[in-house]
Amino acid sequence: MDAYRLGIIAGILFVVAVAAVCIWKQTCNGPCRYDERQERVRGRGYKYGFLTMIIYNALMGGMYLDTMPDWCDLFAVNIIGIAVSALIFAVYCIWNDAYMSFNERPRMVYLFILGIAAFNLFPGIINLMHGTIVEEGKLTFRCSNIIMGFVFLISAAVFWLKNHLRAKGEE
Amino acid sequence: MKNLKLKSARAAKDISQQALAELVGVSRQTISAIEKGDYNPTIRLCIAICKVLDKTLDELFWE
Repeated sequence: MDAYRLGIIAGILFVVAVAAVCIWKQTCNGPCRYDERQERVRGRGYKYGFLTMIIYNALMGGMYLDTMPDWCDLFAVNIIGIAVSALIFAVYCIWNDAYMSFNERPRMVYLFILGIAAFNLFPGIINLMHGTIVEEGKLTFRCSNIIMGFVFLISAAVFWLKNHLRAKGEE
Repeated sequence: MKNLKLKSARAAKDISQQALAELVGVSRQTISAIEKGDYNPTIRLCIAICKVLDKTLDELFWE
């Protein structure tokens, strides 16, 4: 079995494991509950993320109307748009205390975000070392791990900064 | 505008933001945001807070 198939199987197993953890967590703690302020903030976060995606797609569609981008492949173009939109939603919600439901433990969520960042950054860095992220001057689909890794790493950093500032304010 | 009436009513009852949040079913940050004047709660939440603090809507939320 080649490395590509092994990677796909590892990815599927990881998704199944994460889904199992989420289902187990929901069974123990009950579903995530957001209060009215958090729902409002999350709605606004979705809107900003969605608008970012529309603007990004319109820009990319306009720039590459009848030609392929010369700096990356199609998958990379899409993954960058998804990553930026998801990052805007996450950062907005974290900064306004609406990312976590109020029956979740912040430490667990923080560790979970860091774990996903590490899980994405590890293969991303391996790809970077093998030189497969940029081939013939073009960003390839293999950049997706490192991009999503940075999305989660930035989210974790914002999470830490917000908690740090809050703790400082309460002193 | 800060809601000092809510803050003082909560302090008079010796209830922390976290305890009040749990009693009315919201996050502590939401109670903090209401007290700071950063968030206008719905009438449903106002009533829940008033019930816990034994106050009327006028006493806590009317200027």
